[in-house]
Amino acid sequence: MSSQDPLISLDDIEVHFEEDSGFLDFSEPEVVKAVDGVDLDIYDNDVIALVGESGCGKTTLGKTTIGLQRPTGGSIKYKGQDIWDAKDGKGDVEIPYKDIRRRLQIIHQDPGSSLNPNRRVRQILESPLKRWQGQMSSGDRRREVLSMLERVDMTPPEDYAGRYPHQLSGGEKQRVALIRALLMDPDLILADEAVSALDVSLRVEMMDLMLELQDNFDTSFVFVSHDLSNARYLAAHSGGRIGVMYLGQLVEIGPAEEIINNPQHPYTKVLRWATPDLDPANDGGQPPVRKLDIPDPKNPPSGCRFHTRCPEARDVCAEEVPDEYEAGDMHKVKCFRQIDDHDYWSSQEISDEADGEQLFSAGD
Amino acid sequence: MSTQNTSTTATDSGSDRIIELRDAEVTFEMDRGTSRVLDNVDLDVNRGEILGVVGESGSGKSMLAMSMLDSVDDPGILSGDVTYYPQNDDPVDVLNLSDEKLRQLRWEHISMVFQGAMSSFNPTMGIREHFVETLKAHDADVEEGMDRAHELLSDLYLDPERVLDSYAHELSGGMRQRALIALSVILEPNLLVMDEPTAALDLLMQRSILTLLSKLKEKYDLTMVFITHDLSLVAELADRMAVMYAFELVEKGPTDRILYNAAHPYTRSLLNATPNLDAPLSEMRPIPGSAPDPVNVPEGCSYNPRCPLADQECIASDPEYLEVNDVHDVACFHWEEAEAQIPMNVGRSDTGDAATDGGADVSGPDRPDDASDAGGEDR
Repeated sequence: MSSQDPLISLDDIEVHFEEDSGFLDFSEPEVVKAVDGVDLDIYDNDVIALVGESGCGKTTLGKTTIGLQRPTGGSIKYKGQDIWDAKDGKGDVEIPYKDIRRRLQIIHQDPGSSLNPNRRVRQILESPLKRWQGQMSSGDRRREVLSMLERVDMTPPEDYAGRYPHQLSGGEKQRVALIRALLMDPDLILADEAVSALDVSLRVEMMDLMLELQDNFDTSFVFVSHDLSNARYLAAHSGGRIGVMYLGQLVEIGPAEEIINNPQHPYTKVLRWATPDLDPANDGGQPPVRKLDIPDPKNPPSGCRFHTRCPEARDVCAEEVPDEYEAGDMHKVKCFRQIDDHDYWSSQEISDEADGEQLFSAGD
Repeated sequence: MSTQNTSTTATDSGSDRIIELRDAEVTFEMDRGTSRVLDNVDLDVNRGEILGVVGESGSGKSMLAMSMLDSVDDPGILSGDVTYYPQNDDPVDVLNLSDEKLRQLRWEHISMVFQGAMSSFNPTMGIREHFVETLKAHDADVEEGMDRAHELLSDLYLDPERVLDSYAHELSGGMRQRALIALSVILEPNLLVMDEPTAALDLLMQRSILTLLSKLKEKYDLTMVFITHDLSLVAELADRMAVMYAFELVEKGPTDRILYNAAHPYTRSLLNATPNLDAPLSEMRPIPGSAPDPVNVPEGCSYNPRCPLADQECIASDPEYLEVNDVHDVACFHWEEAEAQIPMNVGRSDTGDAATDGGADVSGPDRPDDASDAGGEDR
């Protein structure tokens, strides 16, 4: 990473979904704040892993970074060009939307449903080449597809090229999806839980392949996962960052090993706890949260959104929204505990004996 | 986490066993040939333990779960013996029960939780009705049962009235799965078999549910079989582990033996392939090759094409279980070489010394709660 201009720049991004309340219901529609006030810069050759619980908005944020999801607030720029202005033809469009769209690609969680079941692997992979590199002869296209298949260890490539998606294993489908994205010559690929559905023994292999290709093709990656160990594997190997999301907000972001070994936000510590290790002597103890279930994103808590579950929460956390504070080199965290002389330290601890805390201590 | 009380009771012929599988085999006739999706499995589950069964997708682990309740779907054919030992009653031959007896056995004695809670609940029925119907179907006292339902739901950190008044789709995935666990133990079964009960949930919820399960187990005196593809997930929960590969159980033993002194090359490679926050990054290694097709399982040891230790013997014949020690079995001719040939990630070898000393450590503390004491020296 360097001080160069970012490839993608998100500024105060907000994605709010209105939920239809139904026929003949004239009350205010409910708004789900999937992403709320996120700033993020992604550079060339950068890897960012977004982690968080289901419903925290990590996929929505990922889709926003590749211009698949239109934000309801804030701006997203690709090499300085506002993506949605380009799409709408607003102002001076320096980079046409069509080019931007091509440079930002996605690999879905379920590769099975993103590959056309009626087309052979060869046809699936040749179509992006036909579309974007029309000058290529059909022989060159064919050779390009075969060499890519070989590169991801799908050998003999002629055999694989002739198969239909249902004749591939889960890991092989995922590779085809990865090649298809790479054939567009993208600057950034969003991999949405791309390894979660694979067996444990195949995950490392797939992640190694993604890292190798990321390096060879100079592509940046945004990797979305609920699993901190996968996130760490990808981000640490590539010198990338891990971003932790909670209820639509990026609560902590920093270099991978820093997030794993020196987590600052209480929520990051919760995720660290939730990641199993292979040491049976380390029985983990109680979950370090006051409540198990994530609050309703339609009605997020006031102040710091984590205060209803946070074991460190004090009264001020329910009232004030924490800013983003520096916690180290490239390491930022949204928690008052970063500031030594913050009002937080003199504020009253929040206790809720009535529910969460009492439940967790019961039985010990 | 500790092992089961191995020194005395386990060796007493079957007195503390709750269920026993012998030569359990499931086959499907297909156009391409016979598909054997469970192959000659022998397994004992001890009363009061948590047994973790680990296998990758397509290794036959769900068939193992279904065999315990004789609920393999047609046209699958289950053969072998499954014997259930009630606490103070005669052993039950599960595969030769009348339909009515089998219906009673399920849920009242042996209960099961599947992966997708959404498809386990009827979408047109409220959660409360599921509890009431289940109690009625098994002639249980509904009022007493619903009191128990309240207690179970709050044991699982749910608001009982809110959950009971909901439909399945109104609950989050984690709440739904917990409600399903409560429903599965509403008739106070002795054995709870769980097939990937947390797989669709995110890690925080998975881990929290495991914590709750170990409490539930203590409070309601349950025996649990927890089936998963994720070895690291059950490592903390299980007293004993059984590892499946290609429709067979290749290794069984106390959890700390499996983690520190795995004897089967597959188990060792699987451990090395598991992403782990504590292991050095460079030490994670995928397992080359892929698991076999059930119609076309390799001759001899089914792991031989992927195994670095394989030789002619492994191709010629299928290994029987060999005893690593009296609580640890492995189906591998060359297990004694595995430790040297397939070194484990550095992260774990330094803690492994304690366990290498052998039996004394293995038969150590009885209760999982004591594990923190036992682990003190490691940290």
